[in-house]
Order: sequence, then structure tokens, then C-alpha cells
Amino acid sequence: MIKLNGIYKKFKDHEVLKGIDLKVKKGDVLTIIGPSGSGKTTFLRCINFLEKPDHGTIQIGEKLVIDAHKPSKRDILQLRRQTAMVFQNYNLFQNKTVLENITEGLIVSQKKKKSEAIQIAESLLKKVGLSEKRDEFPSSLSGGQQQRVGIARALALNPDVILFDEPTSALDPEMVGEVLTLMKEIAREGITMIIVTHEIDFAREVSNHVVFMEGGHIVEEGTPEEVILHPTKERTKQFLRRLNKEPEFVI
Amino acid sequence: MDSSIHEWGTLFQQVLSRLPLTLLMLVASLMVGLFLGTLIAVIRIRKIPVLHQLMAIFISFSRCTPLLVQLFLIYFGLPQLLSAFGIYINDVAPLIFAIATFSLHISAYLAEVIRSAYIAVGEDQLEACYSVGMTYSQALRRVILPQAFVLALPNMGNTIIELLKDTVLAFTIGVVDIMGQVRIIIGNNYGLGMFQVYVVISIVYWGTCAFIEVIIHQLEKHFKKGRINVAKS
Repeated sequence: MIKLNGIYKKFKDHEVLKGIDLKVKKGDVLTIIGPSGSGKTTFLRCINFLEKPDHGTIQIGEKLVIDAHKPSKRDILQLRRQTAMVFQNYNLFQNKTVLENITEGLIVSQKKKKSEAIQIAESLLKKVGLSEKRDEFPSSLSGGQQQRVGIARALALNPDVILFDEPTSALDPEMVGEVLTLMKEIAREGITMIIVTHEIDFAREVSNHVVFMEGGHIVEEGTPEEVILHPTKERTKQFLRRLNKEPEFVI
Repeated sequence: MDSSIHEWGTLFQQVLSRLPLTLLMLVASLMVGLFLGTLIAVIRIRKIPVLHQLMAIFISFSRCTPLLVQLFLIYFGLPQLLSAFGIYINDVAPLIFAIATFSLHISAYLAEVIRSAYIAVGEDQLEACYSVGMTYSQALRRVILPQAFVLALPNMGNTIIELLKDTVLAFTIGVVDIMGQVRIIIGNNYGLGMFQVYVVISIVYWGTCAFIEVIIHQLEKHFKKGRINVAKS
């Protein structure tokens, strides 16, 4: 279980998050949608302290509660060890092979034996369909393949929650498909996921909880049925209408 | 027609016999300098209070005063300074003073080279490390610095070659390296055959530098494999 309370974040004078409260239950697939600049990504990055919030508390599991005013280094490390992240630009370790990318966290932060880590990595590579790329460097992989490795790296850590930061935004339409298929698959396995995305259809299909953000606030939240199909707030309607609008002219 | 007073072969032999000492100074100061340089770079990047400002002053001083002056400062000044605290280092070999000076000098340059390479690796890699639960020092050791060193290689090659040539100054405090040997040969011949001697020493330095260039180039080629990213931009 994850609980976020009153998260505020300012960059210089620009207030990006203006008090966000959110609860995520185990096994939830939560998607955060909203226009660019609404604070979605910043909020996601606050969850594992890649961005330090100015105010608010973050609770993960029963025991770990972090107050943004006085976070201890140990708590932040613990928080990060209970979460994993998939990045927009994949952020694979460029100096490590595909296999090492997955084993790195297991060996270094979870202190697993090398042989055990390799075993976990190999089974995950099989799952994401990249077993034959095991000893290659990330630079020789396509974007879609890199992102699948990124997902395998997150899965390997067996975290309480995986945070996805626009995982398909840097991919071409063909590659988007392969990544979304994989994400659907792991969503079905009951892994807790928080996903920032612009793929509305994907959000509707996969998630059980949708949050619509705008201007640093949560405007509307609920099931995909409620938020995407029958939004009540005018701003949500407007946003979704624009996305679904038929082209006005054809060339 | 031979107007040279030296036998070319013996001249080369005499000069080359001192090459190991020059290389020792180079390698020793490089090792210490690399360690210090990395430390300074990290201090500057993390903006560690007080140390960060001190290091900025240190870099400025090291880069903006002649190496010869620094060498004299340490060779003549340091023993005096330390003797005020009751520590006597007058019988320490000049070689040690030379290596210490070169180490400090090159660490300032390397710190800037490593700092720029670190920045080039990018925040993304650090965030990826954090996301899998690494501490900052683990991230440095396993992901950031290995990549930064590869990016730093071309500039580092430059600095290393500069350092090799700077080691000639060691003879001014009595270290008989290649340059010291040359001065002795010239002295023994009352200044005759100077041109010949300097031709030889040029060739020896040039050859050594060329060798370093080749090593750096090979290293660059070797490490390139994991770096060029076709998919990213």
C-alpha cells in the first residue's frame, strides 16, 4: 500500500504540485493522465524521491513513512529499494550489457549472489523476449527493445510498486505496441503499477484507477469508466474530447 | 664530413638510460593526480560546502602559476614551512618533491577534465542507479565514473602528454632524468655538440609521446563499444 499526503513542489517560483493526496492499494494499476506541464511526471518522481517534494508525506508499506521536511538518507534509500522505475528515455546503464543491466541492482543493492541474479535476469529476458540480446550493449538495441530491458530491470527488483514515466513517449508507433503488450501482461500478474501516460486507450483498458491532473491538482479520479468514459468535470471532458477529435480535414 | 663530436648510438643510449626515471615520474604523478583529480571533481560537482570553494581556489592557483614556480615553492618552501611545526623533510629525495608537485599540478587539470566528462554522462544515468536502489558512491563506482573515464580519454591524453613534457623541469631541483642527463652531457663537453644532443632528446620525447598517443587511441577504440547510442536521438 502506498499513501501520499499533501505533496507540494516548487521549482523556483513556479508551483508545480499544489497538494496532491493519493492512495494506491496493492495490485492496483493506476494511470495518471493530463496535459503536458500538469505535474504528472514531477509527481511520479516525488514518489521515489528523484525529486524532493517541499511538503508532504510518503508512506509505503506499513512501516516506512517519510516526511518531506526531514527525510533521512536511509529512509530514502529504503524507499528506492522498495520501488522501481521505468524511464521515458529508458536510462539503461550504457556501460553494462543487457544482462548486467538487470543483475546490477540485484547484486549491488539487494546483495544477491551473482549466480542467483543471473538466473533471475535470464528468466526475465526470456519473458520480455530478448534472450538472444543478453550480452549486447544497450546502444545496439532499438528503442522498443531498450524499453523492454528497462521493464525487465524494474521487474527483477521485485519491488512493491513500479513507476512508469511515459514509457512509450520516445518510441515510434510500431514499438509502442510491443511495450504496451508487455505492460498489459505484467499488469495481469497483479504487480502494483503507477503509470504516467498519454495512451488513453491503454489507460482505459489496463488500469483500475485513473487520475486526471491539471495545473498541479488532481482534477478527477476514479475508475476508467468514470474518468475516461463519463467524466464529470468540464476540464476532463475538454481534454479527452481534444484527444478523440476526428480530423477536421483530410489531405 | 662528420662534424659531430658524439657517437649517435651512445648518445641515444645515454639519454634512454634515463627514460625509466622520466616514465616513473609520469606514471606516479598520473596515478596520484587521477585519484586527487577525481576527488576534486566530485567535490566540485556535489558542491560540498567549504571544500568546494577551497578546491576552486586550488584549481585556479595550479593552473595560473607556472609549474616551475610551484616546483620551487614545494621544494624550497615546504621543508621550511614544516620545520616550523617540528617536521624535518630536508633529506627526502628531490624525486619525491618532483612527483608531489606534478601530482598536485596535474590533479587540477584532470579534475576539470573529469568534471566535464561527468557532466556529459548525464543525470539520467545517476537517476537510473538511484531507481534500482544504489547509493551515490555505488553509482559513482559502477556506472558514472566508468563512463566518465571513457568520455574523458581524449582530453586526458592531452593532459598526460603535457605532463610528460613538463617533467623536464625536475632537473632544476637536481633530478637526473632525461633532461638532467642531457645537461650533464653538455656540461662534460664544455657546451659543444649541443645541437646533436637536443636532436636526440627531441626524438626521445617525441617517440614516447607518440607511444602514449597510440595507447590512448587504442583505449578509446576498445571502450567505444558500449557507448555510441544509435537509438537515443
